[in-house]
Amino acid sequence: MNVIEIKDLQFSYDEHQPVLKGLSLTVKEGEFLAVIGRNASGKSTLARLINGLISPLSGEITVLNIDARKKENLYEIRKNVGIVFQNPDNQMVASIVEDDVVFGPENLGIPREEIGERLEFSLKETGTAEFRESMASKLSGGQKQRVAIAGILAIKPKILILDESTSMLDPRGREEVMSVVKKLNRKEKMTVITITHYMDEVVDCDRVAVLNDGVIVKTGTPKEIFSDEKLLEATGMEPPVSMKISLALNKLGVNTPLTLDKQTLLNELLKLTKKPE
Amino acid sequence: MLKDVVFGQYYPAKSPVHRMDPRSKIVLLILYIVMIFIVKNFWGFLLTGGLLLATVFLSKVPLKSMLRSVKAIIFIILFTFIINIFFHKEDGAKILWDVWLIRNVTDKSLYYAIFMALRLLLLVLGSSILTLTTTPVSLTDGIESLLKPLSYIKFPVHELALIMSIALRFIPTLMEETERIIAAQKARGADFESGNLFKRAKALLPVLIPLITSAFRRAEELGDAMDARCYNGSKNRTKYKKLKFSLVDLFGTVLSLTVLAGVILCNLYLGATI
Repeated sequence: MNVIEIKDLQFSYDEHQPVLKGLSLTVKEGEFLAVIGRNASGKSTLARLINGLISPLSGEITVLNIDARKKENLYEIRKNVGIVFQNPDNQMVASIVEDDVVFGPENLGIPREEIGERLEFSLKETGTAEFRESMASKLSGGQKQRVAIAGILAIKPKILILDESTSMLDPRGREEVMSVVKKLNRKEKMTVITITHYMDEVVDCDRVAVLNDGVIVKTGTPKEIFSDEKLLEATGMEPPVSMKISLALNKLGVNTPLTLDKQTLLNELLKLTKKPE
Repeated sequence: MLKDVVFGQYYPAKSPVHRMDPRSKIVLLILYIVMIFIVKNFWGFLLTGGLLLATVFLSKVPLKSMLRSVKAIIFIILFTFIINIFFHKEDGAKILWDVWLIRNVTDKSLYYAIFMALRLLLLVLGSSILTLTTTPVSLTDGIESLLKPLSYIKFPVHELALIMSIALRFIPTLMEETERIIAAQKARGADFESGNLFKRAKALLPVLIPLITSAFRRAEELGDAMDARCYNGSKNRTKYKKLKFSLVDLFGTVLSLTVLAGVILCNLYLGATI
């Protein structure tokens, strides 16, 4: 089933500079989709359109069969689509972690007992229970983003969008956040859309959509995308290291399978260095 | 410095006073202030002062932190004391001191000045107990809950409380940012330390402007994040945190009311001297 269907979407912040120029994309239930593309290619705009924070000039967006262009549907859509934004400091409402996590369900008018259950669930899933009573300002970037995810989880959305949520984090924080998200995708069957420019985060996704100049130019598995050298060149993207090495080796005439997995590459390289008996 | 702003003067400790419901603390503080203002003789001060001392003792707040708040207004206390001692006029007062510069000091004016200074001192000490034992966050919760009835006359209680808590939430963030901007401007050769007051104030301009711009950007992003999390004003909103009136609160209320009764009795039977 498709949870999100976007057809011929156009959007611009001002008349002379269209941001999205007829973008089409479908997202399947339970999949882990990465949207990549260079700066100012319209990635974040896409996230905001899906959530109804902004509305399109023309084209269609349906989220869970609900028309996202209609104002009266926004509340229903936001209940089902959670966004974790880029700056961890600018999305927390309360000073204390617990108070922030319950903000969403409070807005929805959920009864107290159930908010309590949702709070426990969200803290546990994101591994933030140990600092539930801490000041948000005392946490590291990775911890703050995990709290932000917990705040979204408490709303119980079906779709989670990460809008460059890891771009302000250090490598450790990035890993913390991504492992939480991967777990949610696998265990809770949550549909995840991650908008990113870290290619290493894309490797484990089910599907990648490449956004360039306001349109999706290609979708496919990470391997399909990163072995398409023409596409990478045209969109100015660099493949992950392991793919880069295997591509380079092939160019040199060394016959290695193209791979995104570091371990597989290592094994292949070891095989190559072994002298024939 | 950062900690001071975030927690106010909050002194973390495990005590019955800390455990009290912020609502009852606020209401009892108001009651205490009323008591101080109706006291008419020193017996009354003995009672209210006793109540204060008992609370301080129970709260485990060291006297040193209490005195810090007195230090902040010591000038005001001295000023009222001096004004009263010279300018308080009453019939039948006996002049104690009337030589050159220092004139018109009577027994009555001395008594009145001491009385007023004591009143101010008790007032400040009592109020500081509230801020020393309650975090700004729970203080906000308390105020919201107490103002609740006003929402029936369309007063935006929830919005006010949310504004207060967001402001509290962003103090450390903006402080950090200020430090960063100052460092960045210093790196470009800005000078914040030399020159007179006017010059130094002017030097802060390149700090304030980026700070304000960034605050607006943050506000916009926060607004989006709140929208995305289904914020819809106070309509149909539930509240997870419940404030609870417990045994400690009952004890505090009974104690305060007893002292109030004592103060009134003192006023009636031991003579009103003011």
